[in-house]
Amino acid sequence: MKFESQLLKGIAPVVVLEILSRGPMYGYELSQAVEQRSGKILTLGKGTLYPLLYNLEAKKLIAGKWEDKEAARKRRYYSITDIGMNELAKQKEQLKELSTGLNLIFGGAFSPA
Amino acid sequence: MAKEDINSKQLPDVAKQFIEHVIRKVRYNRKARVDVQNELFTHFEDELQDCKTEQERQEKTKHLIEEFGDIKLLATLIRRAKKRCRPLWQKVLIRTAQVFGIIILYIIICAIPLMIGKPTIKIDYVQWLNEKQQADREESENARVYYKEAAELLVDMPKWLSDGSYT
Repeated sequence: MKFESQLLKGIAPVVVLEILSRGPMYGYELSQAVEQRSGKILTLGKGTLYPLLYNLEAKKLIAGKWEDKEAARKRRYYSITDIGMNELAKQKEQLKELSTGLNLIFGGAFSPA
Repeated sequence: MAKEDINSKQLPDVAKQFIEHVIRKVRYNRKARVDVQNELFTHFEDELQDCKTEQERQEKTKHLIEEFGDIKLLATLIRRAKKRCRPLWQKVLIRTAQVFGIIILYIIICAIPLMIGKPTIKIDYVQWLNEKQQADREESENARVYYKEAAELLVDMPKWLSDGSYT
């Protein structure tokens, strides 16, 4: 399902932070994780993936580091920072409130079955 | 160094060209460009690792390049994001240099008319001073006429006076 880009614009950073809170990942691994864990509902556009990661890095929400975990393949792994964890908690709280508000408006349409 | 890295990676040529174009358009410092280049390379390698045939690799590469989107836009977004990663001291230094540059440019622009222009006299100060002097005074009291007559009446010194033969 193709979502409105404005709808997804604010979601992408918090999704990335949530995925990285479970462990460090590199770019490709992260984009695959977002797709798999959302049941293929959400996808991170390739053209926005790396600019998004660099922006989060600039805000010190994540930190990038070159590592070669597999032989002859050096990759840049991103991990969430303490500031990122705080921001993630704040964003999750806001999303919960938003979800509650929407449920009230739409008569519980967004509650899990 | 960037070109050697490109050729050493096992990627289709179209992928290498795409990455080269993006990196060229990023137009930022060398270290950042090399980092971005290596990240893009590993991303393409990871995406293509499951491809069994060369044709599959080529098709998947083209699909990936389409997914990455416009090269210029991608490079612009990457450059902006990398600029935001600058440390604070660097941002302050760059801003200070920009402000100084603007001030110097302003001074040069203001100095150009002074260097190439020619002065034009708009006020006749002689007339102005004369008017100030002549205000509230009768023209008949002006001795200029008599001085002029005296100068016209002035005769040349006779020879007997100038050569000292009168003694």
